[in-house]
Amino acid sequence: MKGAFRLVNGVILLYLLAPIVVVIATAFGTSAYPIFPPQGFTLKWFVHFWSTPELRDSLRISAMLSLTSTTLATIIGTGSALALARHGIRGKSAISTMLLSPILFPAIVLALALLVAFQRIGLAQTFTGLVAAHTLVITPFVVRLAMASAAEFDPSLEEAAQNLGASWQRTFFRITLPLILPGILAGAVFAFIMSFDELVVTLLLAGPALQTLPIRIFNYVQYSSDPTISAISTCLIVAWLAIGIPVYTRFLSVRHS
Amino acid sequence: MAYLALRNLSKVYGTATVVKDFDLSVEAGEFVALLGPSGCGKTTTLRMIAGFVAPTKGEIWIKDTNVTPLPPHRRNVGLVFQNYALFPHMTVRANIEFGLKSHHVEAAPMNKSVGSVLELVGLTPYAERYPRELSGGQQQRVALARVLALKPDLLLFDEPLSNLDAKLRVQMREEIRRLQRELGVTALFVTHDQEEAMTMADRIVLLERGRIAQVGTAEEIYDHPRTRFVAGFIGTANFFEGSIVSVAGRKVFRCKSGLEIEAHAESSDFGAGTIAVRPEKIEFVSPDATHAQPGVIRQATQLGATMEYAVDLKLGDRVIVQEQKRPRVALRRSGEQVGLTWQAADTIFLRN
Repeated sequence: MKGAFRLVNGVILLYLLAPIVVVIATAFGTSAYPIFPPQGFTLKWFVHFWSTPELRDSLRISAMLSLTSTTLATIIGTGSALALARHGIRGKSAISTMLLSPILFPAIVLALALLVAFQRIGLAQTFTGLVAAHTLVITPFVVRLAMASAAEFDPSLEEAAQNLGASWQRTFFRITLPLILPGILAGAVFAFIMSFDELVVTLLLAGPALQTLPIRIFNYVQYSSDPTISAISTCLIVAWLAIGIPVYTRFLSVRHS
Repeated sequence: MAYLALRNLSKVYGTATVVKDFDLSVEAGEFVALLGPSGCGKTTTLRMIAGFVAPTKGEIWIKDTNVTPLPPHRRNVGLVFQNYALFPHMTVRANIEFGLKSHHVEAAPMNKSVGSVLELVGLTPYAERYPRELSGGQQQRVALARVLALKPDLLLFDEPLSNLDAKLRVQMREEIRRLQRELGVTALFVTHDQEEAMTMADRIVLLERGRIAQVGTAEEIYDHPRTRFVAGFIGTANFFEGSIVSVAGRKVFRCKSGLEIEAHAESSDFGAGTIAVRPEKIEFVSPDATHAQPGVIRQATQLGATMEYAVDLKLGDRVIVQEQKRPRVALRRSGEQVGLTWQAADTIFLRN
């Protein structure tokens, strides 16, 4: 019984990790298209990624877009989460549902709606428009995760801080924020990944000058099949691990101890 | 003028009046308990003084300053919370420093203050611990040290002992009282526990549904309750309903059951009312003694050092009697025929 259980676990784990292993392995292969197991060893696909101006440019655009959207989403999401986690707000469940609605709609519906709206007000094909759209899509993730932390927060701690002579600013930055930070950070990391990864909405709203990395990759694979895409994926996987693991171990494991 | 003065304080939530026309003067150094059943408005009153609840009406004066319009962080009032509300991400030392830093106290005097309050509550070896690493009693002491470090004008306690076990509760009562006396700080202590109020407070303010029922020392309230609620809330009492009548020039209280009690009442006290007799003021005598009320013991309950007996009188009233256990005296049994007697001076007449 125990052996069978382990086997099933092993298969699931393999199914989850195998594609990632394949992608990383093929990024170093010398053949002109991804094959597994890879033949030879080369870094030329990484060099190709870095030396192709469109790809490098799109990485810059994506990074700026995701950072800006994530910052906005984190501020808006944290505020909303705190307000919603406290009692006594009229229409609390309605506001909560509304805030989460962007993830309930199919992305393509949302994308079309935003396209129509943004064309009217001149935001289509602008960086500002993209930031607005991304913020809309990723804020629910921050709200959800920050709310979990905020709901656990004991409001009498804020009263205690004020009673000890702390202004509301000091109370917020020294007591409230540090204690709900794990949820906010988890939300922010999640939001950043969602934004960096976003394709459908971006594809419809981005002009020719604002090709994000997912759009470039999407276009690239339609015309070429060399392992440059594997190289890009490998870079992203390493980057996510470098950001994600410290945040999750530092801030999220603390809550379980 | 009084050190702390609450004037006409009222709080209304929608249609519910939680606190009504609360008037109280507290002298410097006094320890006053706000006592009452849950929902009587005692915590709301405390939260109004701390500044977390805005009064609907009335004023709060501390040391000749009207603090009513001040936000919580501008009132120099220390509050010890029921759940202690220690900051979980800070050590004991950082918890105590928080208030001092909020008041921009410099490093050297701050360290001195922290050191002295830690010593005061006996937690010097625990300064670098986190709250979750401390016992309930130690957390309680940190909460106390944290507010004492600020030398508050007024100490407020919101049922601070209700989360401790019985033994520790008694110990903390004495400790809180000792610290309060030593520092000479004025304190207001909210509790629903009459024993806590009676053992700790100089004066008790008994609240009933948002209003003050009676103010006085434990002795005054116990011996001279003004209403049936007060007599029943502080200690226990036997209540007899009836009225005071004049029988052959003597004042006698005649109960509905026909029981007649010699009453101790002012000459003006005539008419319908209630007589209260404390269970420990009633004596057992033989059933056929003159002036004794005959009855039978229906239930005998162990209270430790005392016994409590429920006695059904021949006339129908049920009377609770408490008797101190004595050496070489056998306990009474259920079913025993007894006579009850008490002094007129030990009866309390409560006008309806």
